[in-house]
Amino acid sequence: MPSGGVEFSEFVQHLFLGLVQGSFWVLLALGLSIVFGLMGIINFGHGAFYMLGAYVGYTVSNLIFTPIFGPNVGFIMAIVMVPVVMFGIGMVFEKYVISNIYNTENERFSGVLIMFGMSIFLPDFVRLIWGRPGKPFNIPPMFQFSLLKTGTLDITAYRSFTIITAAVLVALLWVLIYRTNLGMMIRAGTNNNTMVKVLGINVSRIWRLTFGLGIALAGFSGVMIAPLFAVDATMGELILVQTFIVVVVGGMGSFIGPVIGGLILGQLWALTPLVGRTQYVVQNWTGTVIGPDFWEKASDILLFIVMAVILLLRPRGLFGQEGAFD
Amino acid sequence: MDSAAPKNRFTPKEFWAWISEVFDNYGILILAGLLLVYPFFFTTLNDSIIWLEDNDWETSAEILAEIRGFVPSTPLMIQILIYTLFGIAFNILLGNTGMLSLGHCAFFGVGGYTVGIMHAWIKPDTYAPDWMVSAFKVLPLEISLITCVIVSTFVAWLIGTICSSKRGVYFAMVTLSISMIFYYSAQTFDDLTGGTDGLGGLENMRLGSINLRVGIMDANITYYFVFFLSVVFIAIIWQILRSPFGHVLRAIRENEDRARICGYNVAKVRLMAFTMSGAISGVAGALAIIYGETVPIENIHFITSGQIVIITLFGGAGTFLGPAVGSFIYWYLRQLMSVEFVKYLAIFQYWEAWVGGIFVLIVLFVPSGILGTIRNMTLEYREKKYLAKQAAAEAAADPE
Amino acid sequence: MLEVDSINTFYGLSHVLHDLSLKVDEGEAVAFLGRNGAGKSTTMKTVMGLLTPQSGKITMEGADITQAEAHTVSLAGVSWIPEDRQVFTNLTVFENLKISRIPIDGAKNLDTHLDWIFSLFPRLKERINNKGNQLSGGEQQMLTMARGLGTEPKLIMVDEPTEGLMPAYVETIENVLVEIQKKGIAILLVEQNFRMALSITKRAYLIEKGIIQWEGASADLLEDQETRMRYLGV
Repeated sequence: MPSGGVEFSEFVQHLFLGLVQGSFWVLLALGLSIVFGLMGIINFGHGAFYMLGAYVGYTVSNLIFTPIFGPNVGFIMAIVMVPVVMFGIGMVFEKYVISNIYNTENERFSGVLIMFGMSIFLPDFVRLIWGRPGKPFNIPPMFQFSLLKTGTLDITAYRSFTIITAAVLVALLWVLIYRTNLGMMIRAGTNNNTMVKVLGINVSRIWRLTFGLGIALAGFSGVMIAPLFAVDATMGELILVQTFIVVVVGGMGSFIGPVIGGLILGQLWALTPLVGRTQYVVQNWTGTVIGPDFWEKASDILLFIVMAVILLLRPRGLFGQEGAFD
Repeated sequence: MDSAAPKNRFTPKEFWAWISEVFDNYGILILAGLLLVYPFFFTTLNDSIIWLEDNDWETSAEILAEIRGFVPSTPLMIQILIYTLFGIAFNILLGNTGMLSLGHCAFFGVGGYTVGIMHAWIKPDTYAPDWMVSAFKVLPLEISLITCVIVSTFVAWLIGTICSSKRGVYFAMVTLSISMIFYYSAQTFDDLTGGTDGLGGLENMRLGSINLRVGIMDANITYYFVFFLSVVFIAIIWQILRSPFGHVLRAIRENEDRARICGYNVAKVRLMAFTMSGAISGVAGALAIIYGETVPIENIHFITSGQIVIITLFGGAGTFLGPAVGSFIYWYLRQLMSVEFVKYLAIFQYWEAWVGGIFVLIVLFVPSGILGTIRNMTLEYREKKYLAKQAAAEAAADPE
Repeated sequence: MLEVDSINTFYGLSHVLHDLSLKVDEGEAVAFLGRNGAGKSTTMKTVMGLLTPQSGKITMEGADITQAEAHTVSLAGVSWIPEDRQVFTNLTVFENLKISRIPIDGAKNLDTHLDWIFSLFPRLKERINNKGNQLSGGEQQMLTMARGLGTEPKLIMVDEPTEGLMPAYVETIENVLVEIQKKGIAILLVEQNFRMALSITKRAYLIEKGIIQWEGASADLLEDQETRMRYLGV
C-alpha cells in the first residue's frame, strides 16, 4: 500500500500514530473487560471516568504542583496521583452506589443504567466544577523533543512515552491477573462467583478492588491522553464507543482480545486517511473520484463498519470466550 | 359489623388503588381527552393575560403570567407527545421483550434527517435531481413522512439483523456503538446534514392533501397534527402488544429458552420487535423536527437514547402508559429547571447533571417507575383485600 | 457444633423448609437422606449463607451464623461440596486447590497441604496442570472435595458426591469420607446411595417436603426397611 502518492516515512508516521491511539484503546478496553468479566456490568461510564481522570490530572498538575515545582513535576505528580485518586473514587462509588443493586431483580440492567446515568451526569458535573470551556494541558517540557525526525516522520518523545507506559501497564495487568493471588481470585470469580464466596473469600472486597482498578485505568488513560488533545467535558464520548468497538472486535472476556483488537483497530484508524493519497483511485457510484477529504473523515466510521462485519461473521469477536478469562 | 370499617375507607393506599383502577380502565381516554383540549386551555390562559393587561389589571396579569411560567406551554406539550410516542415505541423492546437498546437515537435521528433532508434539499438549485424538483414544487409532508417510515423501517431492520441476536448488556453495548455511527456520519457529511449546526431551511412543510401549513408558524396546528399521528401510532402499538405477537414478546422477556422450546422463532420475533420499535421511533423523530423546523444534531446523539431510557424507566417500563408519565415529568421538570429555577439558582443550568443524577437515583430506589410502583401497590392492596374477603367468607361459613 | 434451630426458608414465595432443625456434633458423621426435591440442598445452602432463612437460628460452635454471608460461614469452619461440582473451569487444578488456601494463610504452606490432598486423591497429582474444563466428571468431583478441604473445615457438607460416577471413583470417594472422619472433621452427607451413606455415618436424618420426618442411628435405619420405604422409596 505505501506506494504511489504516499511516502514511506509518512506511512511509518501513521503506523506510529495508530500505535499511540491503539495503546489507549487497549488500556481502556482492558479495564472495561475485567470489570465486565467479574461483575457482569458493562461500564457505560468508562468514558466519563476517563474524562474525570483528565480533569483531576489537570487540577493536580496545572493548579497544584506546576505553580510550585514547575510543569515536569506537575505532570509526574498527575500521572502518579490520578490513578490513586480515581481508584479511591471507583471504590467509593462501588461501595455506596453500585453495591446497592447486587442481588436485586435485573441486577445487570441496573448496573448498566447506573453507569449510563453517570455518563450523562459527569460531563455536566465537570462543567459545573471546572467551567464550561475546555482546559489546556501541555506536553511537559521534558518530553518536548523528537526521538526521530526525517521529512514527514516525527517520532515525538511524549507519544513514545505513552506507548511504553501502556505496554508496561498491560504487562503489569497480565502479571496481576495471571500470576498473583488477587488475579486468581478475580479469574475464579469471573468463572463462578458463588464458589469463591463459599471458599471463604470476601467477594465484595474483590469486586470493589476490581471496579476501582477499572476506574483507575480509565482515569490514567485520561491523564495520559490529555497533553495530546485538550481536556474537555465531551472527550469521553467518542472514546467510550471506540472502546466498545475494540472490545466487540477483540472479544469480550479474554485478555488477549482487547490487546490485539486495540492494536489492529488503531492501525486501521490511522492508515485509513492514507488511502485517499495512494495511486489507487476509488470512485463512488456516480463515477466521481472519492478524494482525500473523504478518507480523512472516514477513519471513525470505518471502525463501526469493521464492528458490524465482525458481529455478523464472528459474533464473539476475534478472541472471545464465553464469559471468562481464559 | 363493627364501626371501624367505614373509617378506613380513604386510606392513602386505597386512594391510590382507586386512582390506579380508574387509570387502568379509562386512562387512555382521560389522557386523550385532556390532551385534545389542552391548546384551548393554554390559548385561553394567554388570551386572558393579554385581556387583563389591556384592561389595566396589571397586578392580576403579572400574577397570571407568573403562573403561566409553571404551566407547560403548547410547544412543550408537542415535545411531550413526541417523546411519549418515542417512549412507547422504545418500550416495545425494554418493557415487553426485555431488550435494553441504547441506540434508539439512531432511529429518532434518521427519521428526523429523512424528513429534514427531503424538505431542505428538494428545491431548485440544490443536490436534488431536476425531475424530483419539478415533480414536487412544494414537497408535501405526506410524501416525506411515508419515506421516513420506509427508511427508518429499513434502517431498523438492518441494525436489527446485526445486533438483535445479542443478549442483555451486550445488546445494549452494540446498539449504542452502532447508533454512534449515525452520529458521526451526520457530523462527517455536514454538507448534507448541516453537521453540528443542525439542518435548517425546512420552511416548506405543508400537508398537501388538505393544504395545511404546519411548523413553527402555528403551535396549535402543529400540536393537533402531532397529536393525531401520535394517537394513531400509539393505538397501533397498543393493538400489537395486545395481540398474540405481544404475548410472545413477553414470553421471550420472561424466559427465552422456554419460548424457543414452545416453537417460536425467537431470533425472528426479536428482530420484528426491534424493527417495529425502530420504525415508530423514526416517525417520532420526524415529528420532533416539525415544530422547530430544524434538525438538531443532538437528536441523533446518544444523550437522546439516554433521555428515552430515563423517560421510560421513570414512568415505569412494565406499564403501557409509563412513558407518557415519564415524558411529561421529564420535559416539565427540565423546562422548569432551565427557565424558572435557574432564575434563583445558577446551578440549575447544568440540567444534564441533574438528569443523570436523578436517573441514577431512580434506578436505585424506584426501579419499577412511577406507574409501576403505583400498580404494584394496587396489586398488593387488591390481593390483601381479596385474602381478607376470603378469610371473612371462611369465618362466616365456619362460625367456630 | 452445628446447630440448626427450626429454620424456615423460601424460594421467592414457595416455602421450602418448614421449621427444620438438625445438629451435627464435633467429628460426627451424619447422613441426611430424602427424595429429590425434599430440601436437602436447600438446607445446605441455607447453612452456607447462600440463602437466608426467614426465621430460625443457625449456630456454629455457639456463634450465630444465621445472617452471615457465605465467606464468614466458611471461615467459621463450614465447607460445602455442591452436587454439581462447580470447579473453576478456567483455573488449573493447582490453582483450584491454591485458591481455597488463600483465606487460611495466604497459600503460604501450600506444599504440606497438597501432600495430604494428593495422598487422598493421587489422581489429582497427575492432572495438576490441567484446567478444570479438561477434567472428567469423577476428577472434577475429587477436585471439588479437595478444594473444599482446603478451607480447614470442622464440618464438611457433601452433596451427592457419587452421583453419576464410575464405581472406581465411588470407592475413592467413600474411602476419602472415612479418611477425613479420622481427621476429626464432621460430615453432613447427602447421598442417594443410602447403603454407603448409612455404613459410614453414625446418625441419620430423613427429610420429606422440607420437614424432618425421622432421626436416629444409621444402623437402625439400615435395618428398618419400613421407614426407608416410606421416606426414601427403597
